[in-house]
Amino acid sequence: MPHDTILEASHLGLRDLGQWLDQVFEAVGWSSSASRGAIELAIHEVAANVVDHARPSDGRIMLSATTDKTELFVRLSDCGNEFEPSCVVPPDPENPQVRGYGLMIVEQVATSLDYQRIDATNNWTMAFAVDVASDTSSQD
Amino acid sequence: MDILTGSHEQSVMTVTLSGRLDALEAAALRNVLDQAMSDGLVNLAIDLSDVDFVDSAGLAALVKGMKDARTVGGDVKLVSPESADAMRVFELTKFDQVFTMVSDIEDILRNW
Repeated sequence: MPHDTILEASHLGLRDLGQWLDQVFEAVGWSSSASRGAIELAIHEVAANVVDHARPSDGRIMLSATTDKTELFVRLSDCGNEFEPSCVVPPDPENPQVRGYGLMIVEQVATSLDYQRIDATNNWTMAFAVDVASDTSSQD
Repeated sequence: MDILTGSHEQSVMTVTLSGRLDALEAAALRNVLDQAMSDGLVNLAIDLSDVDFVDSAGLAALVKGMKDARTVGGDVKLVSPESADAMRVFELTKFDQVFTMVSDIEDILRNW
């Protein structure tokens, strides 16, 4: 069953992300998973890019999550400006830049990351491996 | 996020942060660091031990401060966050190897 929510497309609105993720993890018995923090950071970074760059006119970010046994699949969509991959400057370790680390972070945490522009909507899909073994609260 | 600033006899400005260092709070930190530079305080010790979340915008504020300080012969040194969630962004971006990061602010002040 998908777990859906709508975030306000603002930096303050992104603070509701953690509570939603807690609800998703609790619903599937992953409350104590060690993976949660990294996954929150990755989704937060994609959502922050929406706030900073896509700037959806309706002020909303839609989130939907589904789960498999040890995987979390998240779809994030908005009706803002189209993402331009050519505008992303890869970080240079020899000359640390100030910005541009968001997608680098997501790519390291997620097992897959995909972007599609469909009907004037940005659609990000992410998959995450969840460390279920670290969850001491789950029942067999 | 709370920001507390102080000074040290070795001309090191201390900045103690707590809570979330995210895009919402990064501007406040940038203002503090920019003001320090304007005041000629180029050696900055920032205590992140009570910070529980850092995103790339928060990291960017620290990186800009470090680059500005190093340009004029100073530096920004960090006390590592105790929270693994807050430490993660430094590890994923390898900035844990760019910043001087220690577990106790006294280590920074003693050895500057």
